[in-house]
Amino acid sequence: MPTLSRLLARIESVFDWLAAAAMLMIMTVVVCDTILRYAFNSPLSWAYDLISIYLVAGVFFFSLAGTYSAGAHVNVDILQKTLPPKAVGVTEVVTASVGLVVFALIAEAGTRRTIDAFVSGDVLSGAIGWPTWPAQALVPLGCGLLALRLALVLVGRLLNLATGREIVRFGRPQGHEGMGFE
Amino acid sequence: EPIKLRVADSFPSGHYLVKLIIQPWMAEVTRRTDNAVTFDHYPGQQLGKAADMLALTQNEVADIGYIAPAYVSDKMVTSEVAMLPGAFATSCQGTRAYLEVARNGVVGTEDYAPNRIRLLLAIALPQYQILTIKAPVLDEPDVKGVKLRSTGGAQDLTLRTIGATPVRMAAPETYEALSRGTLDGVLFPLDSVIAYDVQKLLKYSTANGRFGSFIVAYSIGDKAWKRLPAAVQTVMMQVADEINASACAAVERQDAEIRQKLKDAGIQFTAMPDAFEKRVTEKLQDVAAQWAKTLDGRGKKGSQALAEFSAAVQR
Amino acid sequence: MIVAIGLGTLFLLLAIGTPVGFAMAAAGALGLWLVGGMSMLTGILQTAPLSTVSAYELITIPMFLLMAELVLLSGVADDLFKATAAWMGRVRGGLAMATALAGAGFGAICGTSTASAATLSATSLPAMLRQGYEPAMAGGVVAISGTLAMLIPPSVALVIYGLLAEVNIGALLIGGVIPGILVMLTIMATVYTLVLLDPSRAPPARPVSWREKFAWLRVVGPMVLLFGSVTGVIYTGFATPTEASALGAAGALAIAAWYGRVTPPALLRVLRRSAHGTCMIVMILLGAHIFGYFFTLTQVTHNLVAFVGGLEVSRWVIMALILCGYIVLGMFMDQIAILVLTVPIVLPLVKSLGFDPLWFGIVKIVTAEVGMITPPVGLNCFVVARYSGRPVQEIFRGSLPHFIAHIIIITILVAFPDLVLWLPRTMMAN
Ligand code: NA
Ligand code: NA
Repeated sequence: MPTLSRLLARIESVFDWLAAAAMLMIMTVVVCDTILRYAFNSPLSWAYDLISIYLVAGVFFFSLAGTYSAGAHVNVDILQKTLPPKAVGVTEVVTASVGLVVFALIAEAGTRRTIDAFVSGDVLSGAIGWPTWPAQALVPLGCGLLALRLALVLVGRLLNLATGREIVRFGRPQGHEGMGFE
Repeated sequence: EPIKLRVADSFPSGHYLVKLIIQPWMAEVTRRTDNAVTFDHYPGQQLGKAADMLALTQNEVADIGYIAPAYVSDKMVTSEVAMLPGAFATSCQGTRAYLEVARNGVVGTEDYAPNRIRLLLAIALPQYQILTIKAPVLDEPDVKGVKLRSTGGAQDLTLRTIGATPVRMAAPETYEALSRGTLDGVLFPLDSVIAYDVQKLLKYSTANGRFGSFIVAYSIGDKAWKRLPAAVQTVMMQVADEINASACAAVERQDAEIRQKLKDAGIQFTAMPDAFEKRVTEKLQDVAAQWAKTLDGRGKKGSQALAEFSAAVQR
Repeated sequence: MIVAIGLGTLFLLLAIGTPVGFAMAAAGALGLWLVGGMSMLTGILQTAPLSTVSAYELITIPMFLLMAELVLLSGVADDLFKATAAWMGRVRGGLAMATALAGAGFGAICGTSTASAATLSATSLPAMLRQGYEPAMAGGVVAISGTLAMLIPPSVALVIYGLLAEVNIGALLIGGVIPGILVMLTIMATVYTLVLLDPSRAPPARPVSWREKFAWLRVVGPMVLLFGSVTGVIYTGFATPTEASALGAAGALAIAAWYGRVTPPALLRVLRRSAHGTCMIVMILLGAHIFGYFFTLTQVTHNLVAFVGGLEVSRWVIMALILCGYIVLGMFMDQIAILVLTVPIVLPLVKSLGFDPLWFGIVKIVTAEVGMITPPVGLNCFVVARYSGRPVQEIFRGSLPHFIAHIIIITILVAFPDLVLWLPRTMMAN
């Protein structure tokens, strides 16, 4: 299982990279678009579609699992702070189970939609016929990876609870240096 | 036993198209079935965005959905034939032609049948016009390089064909963009001018442009349809046909009213001079031909749709 | 009954520490399944995730977050406090007032209040403690001054409100300017009062030469560039708010590069952190969408609005109840989660009572500022405690006077809506 966990961490890190690249691209494309529109009266005709179809979705879905592993999905932890480790383990089992169900369902529905779009060669109408399947593929990729991560956490937590020992180590769930984004 | 159906759309509640199309249809169906069929109406994107309506109807989240083909251009490819520039003159002409090809023609077999939905109500909106701030559109130089908001698709192509610069942006940002010169004008259906409250910012509008249109359509999912008793199906189609015929006339009257409202707000409607209009029409025919060719190239029935729709308009 | 099960599941999951977005998605999914079975659930799950994120306007969130991270990286904020401190001179409590000024200044170039609190904790708090300020008062003023960043544009919180309420985001951001300045002045007045009551809270400062004062003006350059590239371009209309957010991020990147702080690993770290922040916020938006469908299909919102609309009470009483509710919620919950959970339900009510949604957004954000400094969940106090190594109870205690002052300022904004609405009107008029 540690091997599997390390493998997932590697994929999460690659996905994080891709999300970071999408961020940088959004910034660059919008700035170029704005400047070109002002200075040369010729905005980038593809900027709007590229960003709204692919890049924003890329930032979100590629960082979905990494954000969970980094503990950056905000939660209300006042109660958890007062609980003994075993009870924390139980709450984490509940969280991982419901998360697993939801994201597995989303990933499954997303997979069918992606295959459907790919097989029928769907493109959006317009000067550039953007294919829709790459955007749709982001859903099962991001949610699927998160579901795998949640499954691994679930198994680990259950093992710990069943044996009463810390077979799989989990740190206290913690955000980015305890900071939010408000 | 009583039947209750969920109807979803993305219009703000109270929008005139809702009042003209779906509300009277629901009321009349309920009346003629003696309250055996009733509806829960979810307006204003309550069940999802416009682009999600097809999937939501297919999955029976809604039984009847406002499925505008333009919002699902990846799934309803040939419907765009009715929205191409120059496709028809009046709303009723466009509506009749679209219903014809969507019920009995290639649009039906290509866009509706494979998506497992059935067209109930449809209206072709009056042709889009170009509205500008600085100068009326009377000649090629008046549009050359002028930044106009477009909603993408064939409109980008239309604008580029006549030499303007299409700019894409989120609809709510249009007001600011116009007021600060980020945009020089818009390519809009006239009712959107009022919907986005931009009439104060614009000075001129083309009066006779045929720069494209939009199909407003409500469809029912096949599964929901098949569950209905035959008598109810008949009533629904009858009422739909009556409303399809009357609503397009109401939309045309509405268009005249909107033009008056815009004139009152200080917008000057100028007809394009004949010679210029002829050149524009020729160029826009190329847009339609190019559209059909691109679709044919992707293995879709673009040319057939164009031929059928043009024939239906002539009838 | 189904509504009660959905709500109960939501509160249970929130209470046991399930991430807010996950909790809303799961509770909503359960509710949808109960309402319409598997077909309805998959129907929503198939569309909601991608359609939530396929929106161009959404890029304002990642870009403002990126801008905040880059401003932190550049270190300009450190100088900002030193400059305001030099210019406040020997006024009693001058450093604390300078903190409020620097908070407003930093708020004008950074969109998140936690980033602002972190910066002020690293600069102004040690300076005040060195000079012998009462630690509680020093910590409190830092925590509250940080919250100015969510009111003065750019602001991630205002953008989220704008997206949810479908209010013109440009006008909304501009609407935060005057209330932001008012809140800043209120903080300074609170400090003045505290020092008047007990002068030992703030020992006098050493004199600063004019030469030194002018030397500190070097921070003005980057400040003007960043403020101009966001609020300036929005107000003058050079670009839309969406474009302004990317221009702001690019401007912050340029400044960080100018100060020699941009290395590949630093840039990657900054990008990843802002991507994670975006993901966290959008996850909450997605969860709220799923939960929102459940609420819609059970017609909860509709019935609530009809119920309250039928009550025989003054609309001001209802507004007061709403705002008190927000302050109570703000004690326990994350502010973004509060916005996302409540705006879709509360806004139709607010509109039906005849209140301006733009005005309401600003007032809501001022209550959110309060939430950032109230126990037990007061994010800014935790940030200050963490960065300064002081106990968090001390910071909460020092924030109490500002809590009271904020209640007064909220009352003023409710009584005089033009304080909020005037500036956006002049923007739309020109
Ligand atoms: Na700010
Ligand atoms: Na709080």
